[in-house]
Amino acid sequence: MKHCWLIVLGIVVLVACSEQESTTLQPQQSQPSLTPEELEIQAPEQPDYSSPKTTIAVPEFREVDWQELIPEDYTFDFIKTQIDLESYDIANLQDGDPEAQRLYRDMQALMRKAPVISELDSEKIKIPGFVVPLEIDGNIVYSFLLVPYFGACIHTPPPPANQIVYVEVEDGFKFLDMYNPVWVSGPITVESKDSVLAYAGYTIRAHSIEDY
Amino acid sequence: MNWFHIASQSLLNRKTTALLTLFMLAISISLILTVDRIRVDTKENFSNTLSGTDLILGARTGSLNLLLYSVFRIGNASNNIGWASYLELTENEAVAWAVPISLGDSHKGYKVVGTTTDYFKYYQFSRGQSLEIYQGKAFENVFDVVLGYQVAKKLGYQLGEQLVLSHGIGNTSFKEHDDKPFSVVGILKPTGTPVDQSLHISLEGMSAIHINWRNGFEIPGMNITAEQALQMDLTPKTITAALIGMKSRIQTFQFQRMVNDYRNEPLMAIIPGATLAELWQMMSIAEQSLLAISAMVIVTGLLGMMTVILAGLNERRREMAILRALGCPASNIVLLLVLEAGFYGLSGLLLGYGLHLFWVAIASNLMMSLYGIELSMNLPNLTMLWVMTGFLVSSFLIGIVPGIKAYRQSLTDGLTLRT
Repeated sequence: MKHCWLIVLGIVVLVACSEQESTTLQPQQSQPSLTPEELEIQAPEQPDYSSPKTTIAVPEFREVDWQELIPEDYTFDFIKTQIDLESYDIANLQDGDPEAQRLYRDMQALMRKAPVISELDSEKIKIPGFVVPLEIDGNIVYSFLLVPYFGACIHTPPPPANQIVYVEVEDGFKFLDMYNPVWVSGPITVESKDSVLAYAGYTIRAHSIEDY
Repeated sequence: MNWFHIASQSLLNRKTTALLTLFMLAISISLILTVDRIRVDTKENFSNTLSGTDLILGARTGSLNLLLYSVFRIGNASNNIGWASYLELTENEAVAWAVPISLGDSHKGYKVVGTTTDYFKYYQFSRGQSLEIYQGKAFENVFDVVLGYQVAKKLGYQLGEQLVLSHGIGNTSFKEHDDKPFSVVGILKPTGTPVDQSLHISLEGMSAIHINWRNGFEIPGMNITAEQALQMDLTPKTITAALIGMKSRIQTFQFQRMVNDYRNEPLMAIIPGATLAELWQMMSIAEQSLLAISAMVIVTGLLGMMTVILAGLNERRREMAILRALGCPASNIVLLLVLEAGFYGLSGLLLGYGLHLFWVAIASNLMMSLYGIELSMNLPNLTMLWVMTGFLVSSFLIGIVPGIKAYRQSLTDGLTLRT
């Protein structure tokens, strides 16, 4: 008698479970017998082989490699035509040498004006990279620069202008740390040199940010 | 039977122990709520302080150090930067705008910022909000000063009043620029950022008050009056830092690299957003530890409550026996104790929340005067609401343990207790 409430509780649970099983069995039992015509209507649809449809889902965002952001004709040979490399004794240049600084400045000037591919404009792409936050509110980031390698904001030479993407996230995303790369999906806009800004660059208005 | 009345009478009988248990729970709840509030508000305040600035230029020091002293007015500048370097770097075609900042003086503990009127145009906070004038206008003359809202409010300054700036950034100074007083021409609207705690003068005003200073002290006998100073060349020679906006954000890295490699002077440029993110990353260990400790305190509090109730059960055996004799079913004994524990939990929660508001009120004055951080009195956020719900549910469930003990005791005891 002392533990009867426990037993009652157990019985109630068992009854409840068994009731569920019986309800799932019911529809089959209550089905009336059907005429052959009605049964035909219930037969599964035959696949339509007359018009072949693709069964592979086309992803909405195309995965893009960082290399794709650089125009094909922007090769080292092209760079050689822009900088007078003969004037430098490259083999013997030390890091702190003012000549090395001069070469570096020439390279940087080129990288600042690195060309972009206008054909990419408005394409929906998905690109992985590291986040350098610009507008941040606590742990939520509203806009950032996406770069192909970590350390682009610290001390290693920064990437050229066509290897940086400026990303805006309207409602922000929860940013964990700068060591973890993310996938950025969204339409890419390409500012060419003719724009008001006078600086070429890629921008994405992100639809989603996912961990890599 | 009015069980509620009986239960409350029983509690009142043990009111000292009950009150102490209540306080124990209240303090543990108030701790986690306050810690979380300070943590979240500090982050928000820091993030809301600066917006729309792409780079901060300053002397070569730690990136966090530069961010803290230039924007948050916490800490000291390690060095100044030359005016010539500033001009050369910001004349770069990639730069859209640049606002120089000169620090080092104070007024009654509030920091003085020497800058240009571009500051009021380009300084933004809270994701795109600009500074607005509450009264008066921006500085025009050399000895004009614009006050941040809190400075005007706390010190009770009106437009047209004269004030004297002090050298150094301590709470008081033994070296005042009393030969060159400034007059208040404007007061800014409140922003919730360190701007409210600052006084703003022109760079020329900053030069004028140091015109007879060399190497950090006033040259004795070299008295230059305010009128004389106005005739002299007041172009600044050094500034402390500069806020920079680029025409295209993609050019940020290149410019930063150029500044970092600048040969004429040891300089550096930081990206404020990235530096703040680094700060939060560093702080996350401390944050998690604080939260873990607060959670442990709550667990301790709940276990303490359970212990107190369990310990008190011995004295209440006769009470339980009487209740049984009056017709209370044995199972109701369990319910009684669960409700009692739940009552502790609920009132502990309410008292704890009230205590939390009290702590925040005290802390907010401190935080505002020390760090310029404004603590909000908002309702707790979602995480904290879950914590409070979990606490409440746990306090009810914890009552089951003493409940079962009392249930078993009441079965074996009669009205005459076998001790």
